[in-house]
Amino acid sequence: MITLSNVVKVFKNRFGSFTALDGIDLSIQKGEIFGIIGYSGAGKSTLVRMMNLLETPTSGDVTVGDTNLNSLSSKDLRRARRKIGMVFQHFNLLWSRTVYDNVALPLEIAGVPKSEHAAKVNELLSLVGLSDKADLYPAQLSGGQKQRVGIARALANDPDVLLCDEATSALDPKTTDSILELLKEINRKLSLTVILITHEMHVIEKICDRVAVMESGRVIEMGSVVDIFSNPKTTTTREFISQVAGDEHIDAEFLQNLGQGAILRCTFVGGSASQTMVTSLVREVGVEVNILQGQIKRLKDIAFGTLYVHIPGNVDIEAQAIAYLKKNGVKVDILRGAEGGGQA
Amino acid sequence: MNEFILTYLPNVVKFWDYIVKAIGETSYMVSVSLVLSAVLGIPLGILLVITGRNHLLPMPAFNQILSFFINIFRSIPYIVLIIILIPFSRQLIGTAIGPDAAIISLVVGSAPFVARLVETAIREVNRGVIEAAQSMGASNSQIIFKILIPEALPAIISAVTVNAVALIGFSAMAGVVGAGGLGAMAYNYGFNGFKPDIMFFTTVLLIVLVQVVQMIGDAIARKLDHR
Repeated sequence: MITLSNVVKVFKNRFGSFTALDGIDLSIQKGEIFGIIGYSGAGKSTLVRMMNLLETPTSGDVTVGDTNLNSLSSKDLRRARRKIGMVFQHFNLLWSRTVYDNVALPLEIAGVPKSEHAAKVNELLSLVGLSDKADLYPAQLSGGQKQRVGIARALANDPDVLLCDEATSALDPKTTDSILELLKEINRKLSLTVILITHEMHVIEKICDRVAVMESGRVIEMGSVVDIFSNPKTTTTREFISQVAGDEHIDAEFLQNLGQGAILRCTFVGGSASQTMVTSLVREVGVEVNILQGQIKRLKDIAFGTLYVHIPGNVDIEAQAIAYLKKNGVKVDILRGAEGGGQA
Repeated sequence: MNEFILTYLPNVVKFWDYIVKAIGETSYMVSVSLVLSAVLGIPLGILLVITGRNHLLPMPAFNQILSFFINIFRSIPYIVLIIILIPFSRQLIGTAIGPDAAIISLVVGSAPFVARLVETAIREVNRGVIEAAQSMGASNSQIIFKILIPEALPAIISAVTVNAVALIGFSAMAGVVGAGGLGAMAYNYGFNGFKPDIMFFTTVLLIVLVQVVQMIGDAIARKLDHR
């Protein structure tokens, strides 16, 4: 749906130049919710503005649908932008217009006859749950309601793509969740491709299918959210995951006192529910299992769990346990191996 | 009451017809020049913003030249401007005296003022809103007429109000080109003619006029402001 190939953006001013995007290659599938996460200054806002050419690339190509945006005339670009909705961190509503008129603005801009406005605007307001607020002004709404208006407005011209630039960063956690639910619902109902920029891993785990992690104008890691969570490769990604996973560090002294045996980190994804796995491990392999720490979270619609266990015994017992777990689709990392026994 | 007026404001009664005429002249000069200076000043103010760096239509050279000329007209004292514009008035309307000649100098003097006030008003419009409109595929003219002007309207109304009050003051000076009006009445009849009651009364009328104009302007701006 959206393809960026070798996109570079260099900002120049009197003092020198700054490379905001340093060769981005990205391909976003139709209908997916794609998250881009990074710290401020990583270039993610510049990146999302490439997707409707609010920022023009210094070099490289931006393709949305079948059209290469950078080859368009300014008139054709304006036409193409109607099919790319955008939602902003600070909503960017017109305070001089009512909620209704704010949502009607893109229709006016696209030259849709006025007689067709009411039906579309009312449909959108009911989609975002603000039918009763049509005649209010943005100043009379809460942050979450303002963002709902922003989303309704972005959908006015039936776009194929919805770009969300930190759409929940100005909202409290509860409102964030309700906006994320709304985005998920819209993605499903309208089979819309959603691109989401954020610095909160919570947003990624909640609704994204795939994620790209950005740092210093580069994509340093990209993949399905489950893969990234279960197998982060960079420090930055691990930092982001720890935002939502809490501190996974286990006290060294505590481990000392556990005595002999292996300490494993087991990562469960989807079907392999951790509780039954532990039970069957005990029953079928006949090992003892001490659960040290664990959690299960939902990544969009997939369960994802990590479990730290201590398995008393020697290397043979450890090997049996690991083999059993791996056979059942559990990813196992050995934090401390067992000693003694066997010939392994 | 009648007796009071006859005692303290004898000339006001005697010259009442002149005062009524002066009110008419002041209203005429102020309202016509207010409209014309807004018609000229508002587009100039918008141009000052959008041709600036990083805005809709960056034209740095044009922007600086425009800004330079606006500063020139803003720095010329009004009384000098009236004199400078005498030949221009003769060319344009065939005479350099009377209310119409005064209107020319009032407009030339106040349009740049309006332009600067409108510039500030338009600059206040949130850049994010402009970006949002661009993301919807709005053209520059759509952004000007659907975003910039409506969003800045209360501030533009306030700018026009400030200018209306300034025009009431300047129109009093236009008496020197025989434009008439309350200011001329106060000076010619009141001061030069030793009729202090006329000077007092016309000044009060000007004060009332300013208050009313300011109140109307504030009321409109408040009604339009939904922030």
